[in-house]
Amino acid sequence: MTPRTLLLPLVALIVAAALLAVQLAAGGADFVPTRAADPCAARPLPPVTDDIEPLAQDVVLLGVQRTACALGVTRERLVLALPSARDRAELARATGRTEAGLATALRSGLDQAVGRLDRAGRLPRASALLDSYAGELGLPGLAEAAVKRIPDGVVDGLLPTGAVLRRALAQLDVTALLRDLEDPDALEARLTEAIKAAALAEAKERLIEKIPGPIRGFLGL
Amino acid sequence: MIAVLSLAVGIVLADSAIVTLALPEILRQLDAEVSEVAWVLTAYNLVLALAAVPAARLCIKPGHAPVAGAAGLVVFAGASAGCAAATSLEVLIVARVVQALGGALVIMACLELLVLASGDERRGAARWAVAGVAGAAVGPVAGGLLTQAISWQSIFIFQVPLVLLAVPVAIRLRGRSRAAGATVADSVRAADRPDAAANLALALLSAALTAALFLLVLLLVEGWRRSPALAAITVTVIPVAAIAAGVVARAARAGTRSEAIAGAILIGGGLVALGFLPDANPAWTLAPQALVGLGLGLTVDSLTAVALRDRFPRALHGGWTIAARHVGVVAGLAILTPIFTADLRDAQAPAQEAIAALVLDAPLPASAKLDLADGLGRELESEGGRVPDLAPAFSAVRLDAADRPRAQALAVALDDQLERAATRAFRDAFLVAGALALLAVLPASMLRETRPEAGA
Repeated sequence: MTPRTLLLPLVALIVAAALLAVQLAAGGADFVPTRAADPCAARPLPPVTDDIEPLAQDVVLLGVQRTACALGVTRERLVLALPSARDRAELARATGRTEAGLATALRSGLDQAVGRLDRAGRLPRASALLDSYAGELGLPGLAEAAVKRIPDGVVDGLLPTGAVLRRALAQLDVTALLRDLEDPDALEARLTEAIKAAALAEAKERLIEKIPGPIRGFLGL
Repeated sequence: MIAVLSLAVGIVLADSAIVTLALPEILRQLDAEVSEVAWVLTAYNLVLALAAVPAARLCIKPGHAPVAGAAGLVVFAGASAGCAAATSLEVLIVARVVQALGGALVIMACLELLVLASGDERRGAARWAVAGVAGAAVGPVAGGLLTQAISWQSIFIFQVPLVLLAVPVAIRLRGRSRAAGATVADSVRAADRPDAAANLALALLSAALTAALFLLVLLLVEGWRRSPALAAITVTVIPVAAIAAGVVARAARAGTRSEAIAGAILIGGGLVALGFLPDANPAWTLAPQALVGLGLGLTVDSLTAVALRDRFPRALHGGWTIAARHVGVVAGLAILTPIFTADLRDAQAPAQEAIAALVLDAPLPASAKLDLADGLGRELESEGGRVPDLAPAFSAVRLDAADRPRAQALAVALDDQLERAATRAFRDAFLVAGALALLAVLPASMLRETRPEAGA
């Protein structure tokens, strides 16, 4: 080929390479979906809330992250798999566990989340949540009003939020909870019941502890 | 006369890709899968590739070209009407097969008829080649605009009167065809062998060019959810650049081989650049398309001219170029469709995870997130693997005034993730198409060197 006949292919090559360089410099190789974050990497904790819904969200998000870290999958994969029985079974298989093992891992992750929030002082005091709690207890009007009049110190002493949540988790049937994920009403009822039962049990235990030993023995408590 | 015959050639070759922009609409209306709807393109190109050489053999017989041409035009027009009336994918594909059979007769007869009408072999063949390139380049644009303005069926309805215009012209040339006849020398002369290098380069470049149009249009309409009209306007860059390539070729005067090599590099470079788009803005596709268009203009008509030059019989070699180009189109579709459909499937999991991450971390109440997740799941499921429109999921969620701007920001972020996933899913197919174009440099470098005639 003569220099004249070489010129056109050479110009074509330079133009094509220049365009590719511009596109790569503008991020052409990186225009891909954002990769899910490492679930084992620490995330900043949320601020303290005095409402039930954001508290539940904080616990679940942190718990799911801890569970995902333990299972060796991304938080997003775990969340996407949980609502479907087929996907849960596949995830359990992929992570070398049974479905019951998956439920245990989730319970443990949620428990760790409550522990971490508690240690960092990010759990609200029970007295701050009382308005929501009182409503959830389904007490008659006068009883609810009476509960709201209990001094904050007494409420916080009887119902430490971390302890109540951990107790609720311990008593919760996580396998049944996972089955309820597709039925929000059943899920809410199950969670409310678990928290109510945990709160009552915790308060009862702490009240009994406050009774002097001889009287406790006399009463057979 | 010449204009009407050129128009018929242009329409038949435009049909090779004219439904590209209508495919998403056909996909929805006829309830088909991407891999199934690709047969609307594949069937036409496959039959055209197989029928081109037999049609050419028919047309080289003295006096046969006008009759074959008129018959082909009527069959093509009838089958086009059949395509418009199709209510199932199967009927549409059968009508496309018949359309391609008629189209093969039209193209091969028109090569002879254009030579007769031009009164000069080289000029007639050049007009035939240019009409084919123009049709192939303009086809997707015209199809997209008609789909957006009226319907995908209108693409086929509009063709019927336009191709039938050429019937009286073909019949009028019957007398001239008989008079031209075959010389005694022609009757004893054996047919020349096809130009393997030019035809192979044409096949490879056609495979790559199919990718440029088919994949780019699918990316714009299905991946980025732009309207067919916007996609049509966007892809006009290719025909405009193809026309501009004539100016470049005349200025460079580098010869056919040099033009073919440069054109293959430009098409390959443009396709690789389409594989590395940095944003889902259609403006980013313009420069790569310009390269593809310039490459198209530099290669296809000059390679066709090389394949026809000084070869006997002309129509038969014309048939080989058509067969090569459409074998290339079919091969391109066969190679690239499974690649990008598999990549689209593989893109779903990372896209869903990216969407889930954004929803989980969004500063919205848990109840709103749950409703949103429910709606997003339904949208993803209803689209059956296609890129969904997420807006209905957001409009179904009741939000406080304070949360609406946050939800709006989330919607924008989710759309960005979907566009990223779709763009990434097309990357491998564009890169493979770019490799096919660059492979054409090899046969192109084996072409006989010819210099353009002064003033051509």
